[in-house]
Amino acid sequence: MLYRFVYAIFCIGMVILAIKLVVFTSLDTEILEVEVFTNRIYNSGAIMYVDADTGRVFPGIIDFEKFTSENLERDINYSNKYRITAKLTLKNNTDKVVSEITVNKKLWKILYERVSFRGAEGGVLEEIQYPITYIKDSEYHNGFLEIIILRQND
Amino acid sequence: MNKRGQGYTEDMMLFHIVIPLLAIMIGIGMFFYASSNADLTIFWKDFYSKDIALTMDSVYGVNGDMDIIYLMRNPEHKFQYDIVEGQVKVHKDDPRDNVHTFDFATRPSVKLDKSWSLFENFPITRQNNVVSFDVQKPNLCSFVTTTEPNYKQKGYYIEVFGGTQKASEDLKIATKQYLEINGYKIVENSNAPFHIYITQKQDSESRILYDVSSEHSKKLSCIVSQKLNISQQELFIQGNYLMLKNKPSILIDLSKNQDTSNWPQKIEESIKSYFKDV
Repeated sequence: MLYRFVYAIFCIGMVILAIKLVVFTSLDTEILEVEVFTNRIYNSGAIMYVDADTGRVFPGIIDFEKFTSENLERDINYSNKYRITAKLTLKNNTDKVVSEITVNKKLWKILYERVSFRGAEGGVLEEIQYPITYIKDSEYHNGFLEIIILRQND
Repeated sequence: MNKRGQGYTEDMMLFHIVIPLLAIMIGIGMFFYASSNADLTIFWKDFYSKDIALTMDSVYGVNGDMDIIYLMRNPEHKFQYDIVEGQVKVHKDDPRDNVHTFDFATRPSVKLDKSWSLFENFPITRQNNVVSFDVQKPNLCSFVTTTEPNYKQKGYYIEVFGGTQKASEDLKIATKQYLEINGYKIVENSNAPFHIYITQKQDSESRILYDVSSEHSKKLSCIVSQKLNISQQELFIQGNYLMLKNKPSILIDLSKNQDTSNWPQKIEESIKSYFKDV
């Protein structure tokens, strides 16, 4: 008798689990937000070179003098500072770190350790690397821009 | 004969078949009951707050001017969208309703001209680093660009559909004459690039039908419905309505006693608006 009861509960549980797997009630946009954020970093004039005469932004050419956390935080300004953070590492083509900046440093320190946690304590981590050119002391250098973005789960 | 303790009995077999079937039936029944009674309002408020905020993120992030139209996924979604610097709020037009909020990133060089409260499809314009949702902009029907300088010579096919009714015939003749007087090329060949069909099936109110898969027909229907002040209806084209597959095409369905005395002129204005994007 007990066996039959347990078996019945098990079957009902499996059906409910199957329905739960195909029904979506929440909208998880964290990955999309990370993409939008990355695009804003790469395509805005916050750290990229901007031609003074035409105002044209050159994505992929970093102006080293503008490569600061303050510039990025001013140009990509969320009122909620505990939503998204990023670390940008500028490397030359021998893989040596030239400069490193962090957007929303406070959140980075909190979230980096627990990004793999489930639920509201954790987040989404995305790592991207772009080949770039950077202008330092009026000279052009080839290198890479590594971006690690952390987005806190809702 | 079933001896106790020996092998798999019929009773056990039935049990192992019936219980899973019963569980599936109960589960599916509960699922359909819940989904038919579920209120999707919370989901859609969440959706629009995030969708509009991420769109605003892109609007702020791009370099240069831009001009887009934000369309609601379903015309039945009746919410109020409050957009302020850095935030989108979505709620029903009721002070007691829960507000869904989502942030977007601002930048110092780009500004919202003012806070906005919007209710349906709206344009988003960024010009000289000022973002605006000027709902007075006339052509909210601009789903696609259809500007054409010599549009009058395209070839216009205007025909009655679904049997001869006097009202439809009268409107067809009046429209053809009006367009011809105004320099439009009217053709009798259904291979023409522009189609207007007229019928009279509706009892209650006039409407315009168009192919839901055609952005050109959608735009034409939108403009004509605004000019004639009648509703429009999407159609998934099949069977008798296959002629609406030609693009752009619309079917004007007249109600009884519909006054169409100034409709030829309004149809001409609609065509002009369609091709001139004004």
